This record gives sequence, structure tokens and C-alpha cells, in this order.
Amino acid sequence: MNYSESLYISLTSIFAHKLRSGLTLLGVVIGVMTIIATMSVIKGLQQMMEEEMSQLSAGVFQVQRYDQQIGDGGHRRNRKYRPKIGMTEVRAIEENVPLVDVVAPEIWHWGATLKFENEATPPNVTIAGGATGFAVNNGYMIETGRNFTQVDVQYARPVCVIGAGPARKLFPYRDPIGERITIDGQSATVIGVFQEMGSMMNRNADNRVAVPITTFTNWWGSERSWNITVHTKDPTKIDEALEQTIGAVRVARGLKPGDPNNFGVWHSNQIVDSFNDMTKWIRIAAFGIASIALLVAGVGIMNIMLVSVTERTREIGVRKALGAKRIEIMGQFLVEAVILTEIGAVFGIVVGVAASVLVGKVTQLPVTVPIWTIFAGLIFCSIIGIAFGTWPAWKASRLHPIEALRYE
Amino acid sequence: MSEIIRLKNISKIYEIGKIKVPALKDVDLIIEQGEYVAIMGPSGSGKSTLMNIIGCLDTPTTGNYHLAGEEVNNMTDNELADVRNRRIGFVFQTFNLLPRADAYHNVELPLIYAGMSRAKRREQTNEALSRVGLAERMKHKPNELSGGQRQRVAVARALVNRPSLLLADEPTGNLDSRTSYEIMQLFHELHQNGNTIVLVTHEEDIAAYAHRVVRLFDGNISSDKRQEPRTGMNGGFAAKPEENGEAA
Repeated sequence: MNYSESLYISLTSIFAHKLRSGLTLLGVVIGVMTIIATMSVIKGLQQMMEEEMSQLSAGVFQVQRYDQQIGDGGHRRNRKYRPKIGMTEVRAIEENVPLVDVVAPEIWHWGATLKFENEATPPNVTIAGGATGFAVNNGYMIETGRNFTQVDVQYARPVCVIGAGPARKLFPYRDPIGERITIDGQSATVIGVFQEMGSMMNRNADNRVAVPITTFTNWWGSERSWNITVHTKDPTKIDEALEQTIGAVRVARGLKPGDPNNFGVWHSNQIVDSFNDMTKWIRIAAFGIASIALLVAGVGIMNIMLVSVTERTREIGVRKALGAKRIEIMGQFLVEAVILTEIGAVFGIVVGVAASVLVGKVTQLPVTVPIWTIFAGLIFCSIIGIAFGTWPAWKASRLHPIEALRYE
Repeated sequence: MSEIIRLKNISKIYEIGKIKVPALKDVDLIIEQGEYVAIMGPSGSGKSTLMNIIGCLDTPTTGNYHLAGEEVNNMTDNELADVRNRRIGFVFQTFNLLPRADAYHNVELPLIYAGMSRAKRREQTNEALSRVGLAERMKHKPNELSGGQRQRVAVARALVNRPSLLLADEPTGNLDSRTSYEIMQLFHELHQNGNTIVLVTHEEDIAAYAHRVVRLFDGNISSDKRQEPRTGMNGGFAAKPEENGEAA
């Protein structure tokens, strides 16, 4: 079989019917575009997730009351009888885990209102009670003013550092430092403002106020469970540190050997894992849609190839008369079907990449096109072309030369 | 001279539903190398069937067919394709050129199926196009050529593989008398150069160019005569038909 001949024939035949070929390819284009755009956006989300998580940098993990499950409210409800995490656990880690140095407890509360003079925020500000390490652990930088100090924490001073959101809302025209605001009715002095995070994953990141953890418990009691952020001295020994920490917390909570942990350990890699777990279904759905589009497109291709074979019956007769063997006729039409789908695939890739870039521009997601999707698109389309091109090609190859030559 | 075609007891029976229609009945025919034979007969006489069998486009129901020494009556489709490619050059009434390919590519086609290298193909294609006087038009597509030029491209395509046999099926059927004359002149020249030509026609004045006329009637050979061709050494081509008409 002569490939350059087949290639030449295919291209002239495809380009002789541009509109027909184009319409046939639409399905292929849509299928490939769907795969590439969806995978790119998910990849972008994943990358952003990883970036955000890297704020919980290597060697940092958290001990919390609940396990790390994204979008899994059912589990949470089932485990609401777990004991709270508090000072006991902080002490246990500090005293028994030599591999860690900073043990920073945090308490979170959602839905507070901040007021200053006549200005008030909506009741959706997140309050964080923390120690001096709070800003560092959570990736906040101080824009103006200062962070709270050991002394602020020790004496439970009524001070706060506000996020960029409340700062803009309450102090549109003046410096907030030194002003007294109320946080859900409790009066506190603003000592600092966090730099704007502009986070994409969590629009709430700027809508926060941080107070010393002692101040927090003074005002709102200690019935909330704490999150404990743990820094490993040597990030390469994180696994060991995790193990020791889990051991210390188990002892502190009086668990017997064999009991399951009644607390969760949150680690950035695990968060990324559970994100991937969740997006797995989106990926599968995208693949399903793309596969259906490509199957439909395949039927279209089969249809157009059957038309092409009928139209070119005489040509097939001539070629056979001149000495073309069955396999050569079959090869010619198969190559044509594959090239047709591949042209669709290339257009699909171009449109898919363009769509991804556009989505990236609009949403500010760090969208990147995973290279494997391009190859997957090309290979999948070849398979479609072969699968749906075989029958028309076989039909062409079986034509009797005399009947084909007589065909009007 | 050696035999190019040897048909022995060839019959072809078509089955249309339950009725068996014999198209050829025990035909014997030998054609030697270098002959110029016209096969004639009214429609239904079996001449198309005979041509298809000679051209290895179809196989006989019974009988033996040797083409240039090879027994072809029991060959498979692919073997027949190979024989057609190597041994036979076809010229059709309707030219049967590929419409989207230029003259060069049309002529090159049999060589591609022969698996010839590009350089060798170029050499033989150019030679065949020159032979029919169309070397300058090789980049033209069929719709940019006149009827006579198209048929000359088809003749070049038939010649390009240097076949044992040139098989022409009503080659002038779609041409006016002037271009018919040109094509017949070309056939004459090819015959002069030693090509074996079998011409199927129902027109007496076209058959008159051949050296031998085989007439078929009702599936049998009714006559097989050698004749003095209308053209020959005595310069029958000197006067063109139209010019004759004008002079009269």
C-alpha cells in the first residue's frame, strides 16, 4: 500500500467537500474540545489548590476535631460526639513530640459582624482566635500595624488584626490602626491590617478578623474545638512527626490501643488528594460527555464515508482496473476516515486550548492544558476513525470492478 | 510471434434469478503479439463479456484463459488485480480519469499500484505523456483538457506500465470524428511500435483501422478475418475526414 498516494487522495477528497467535511467534523471538534477544556480547568483548579495548600507549607500539619473530608457532610454529622480539642492536646504535643517546635492553636468562628461608628459589615466575617504564629501559619502578611505579640496572647488583650475586607468596609477614608471596633459586641482595638490575599479558592480569606486565642475564649467561652497547627523542625521527618503527634494526642484523649482516632490530622498533600478524589467524578463525567460526542461523530463519519464510497464507485472501479488490490482500496478509505477525524481532532485541540485560555483569563485560574489530553484526543480520534471507517472501506474494497466501472 | 491471448472453450453464464443466461458459448480465440484486432458485434452479442474476460476484470464460468503464458482463469481477485496492473492497459469509452487528479497523477497511478519507486515512476510517466504528445499538459486536470486530450491521457495511462496488451473499449465512442481520427492515428502509431491492441467497437469505420476483425454473434465467434487496414504504409492517414468532407 502506498501511503503518500492514500494521503494525497484523502486530502484532495476531504478538501473537495469542505462544508460537508466540516459539518461531519463538528462532533469530533466538540468532543475533543470538551476533554481538553475540562481537563485544563480541573488542572488549573488543582494547581491553585496546591498553591493555596503550600501556604500550609511542607512540614506543617493540623490536628482538628474532624477528619479531612471535602464535601462530605455525612461523615461530619456522624462524628459530632467527638470530644473537642483544646489546651490538653496542645500541651500533650508540646511536651511529648520533640520533633516539632511551633504548636499553635486556633479557634474559628464564622458569621460575626464588625462595627465601627456608623459602619458595619454584613454578619459573615470569620473570627480566628490564634497565637502569635497565626498569621504565618495561615499565610497572612501584615499590611500596616503589627501582629499580636506573646504579651497580647498572655494577657488576653482586646486587640485585633483585621483582614482587607473589613478594613475597606469600616475604614474607607482613614487609617484603622488604633481605632476601636466591636466584634459581635465585644470591643477591640485594631492593631494591624492583613495584606489582601485576593485568593480565588476562598473569597473569604480577606473577610477575617484575628484576635489572640485567650481573648477569644474570654469573650466566647471555650466550648469551641481548637485547630492545632504543628510545625515540624525538619520537614523531611514529617511522617515521623505525624506519627508521634497522633500518638501523643491519642494518649491525651485516653484512647486505648485499637480504638480509632477520634480526631483528624490535616495535611496539605491529603487535602490535595481529597480534592482530586472529588474532581475524579467531574473528570469521569467530562470523559463520558466527550465519548458520547465522539461516538456520535463516529457515526457521522461512517455516514459520510459511505456517501464518499458511493460517489466514487467509478473511481474505485478505475483503480481496480488499473491494478489496485482490495487492501489498497480499503487502506485508501481508512486513511481518509482517519485523516478526517484527525483534522477534527486538531481543530478540537485548537478550540479546546483557546477555550481553556479564555476561561483562565476570565476566572484568573492558573489554567494549563495537560499535554496528555492532546495525545489522548489524537489517539482516541484515530480509534474512532478506524472503528467507523472500517465498514465503508471494506465495502469499497469488495466492489466488483465491472459493476463499479458501469456505475452511473 | 508468441501468443498473448489464448482462450480455450471459454463460456460465461450469468444467473439472473433462476434463469441462466449464456453470454459466451465455448469461445476459442488466439491473439498473437503485435496484432491489432477489432472485436465487433451488436449489443448482446457477448463482446463486452469477452472484453471483461480478456481484461481480467471477470473470470469465465468454464474454459481456460492464458494471458502471456499465465493461466488466469482460476486466479483470485488480488492476483487478477496484479495481472491487470502488469499486463493490460485499459482505454475506456468514458476515459475514466480521476477528476481531481492532474494528467500526470492519472498516468502515474498504475505505477503506484505496481509499487514502483518515485524516480522510476517519474521517468515512465513522462515518457508515456510524451508518447501521446501531452508532456506540456501534465499539470492540467481532466476538466481543463479537451475530449481528445483526455483520451490521450487515458492512452498514456494504459501505456505507462508497458503492458503486453492494450485493451480499448469503444475508445472513440465519446469523441467527435476529428478527435476519433486523432486517437485512431495514435493507435496506429502504437501498433507500428509493436504494441498488441484489442479494440472493442460496434462502429465499422473504427474497426476498419484494425488488421483483423473478430465478429461475435449470440455468444459465438461468427467470423474472424484478417483485412487490409484502412490505414497503413500507403498513407491512409494523409487525408483527414473533415478535410475530405470540405473538399467534396
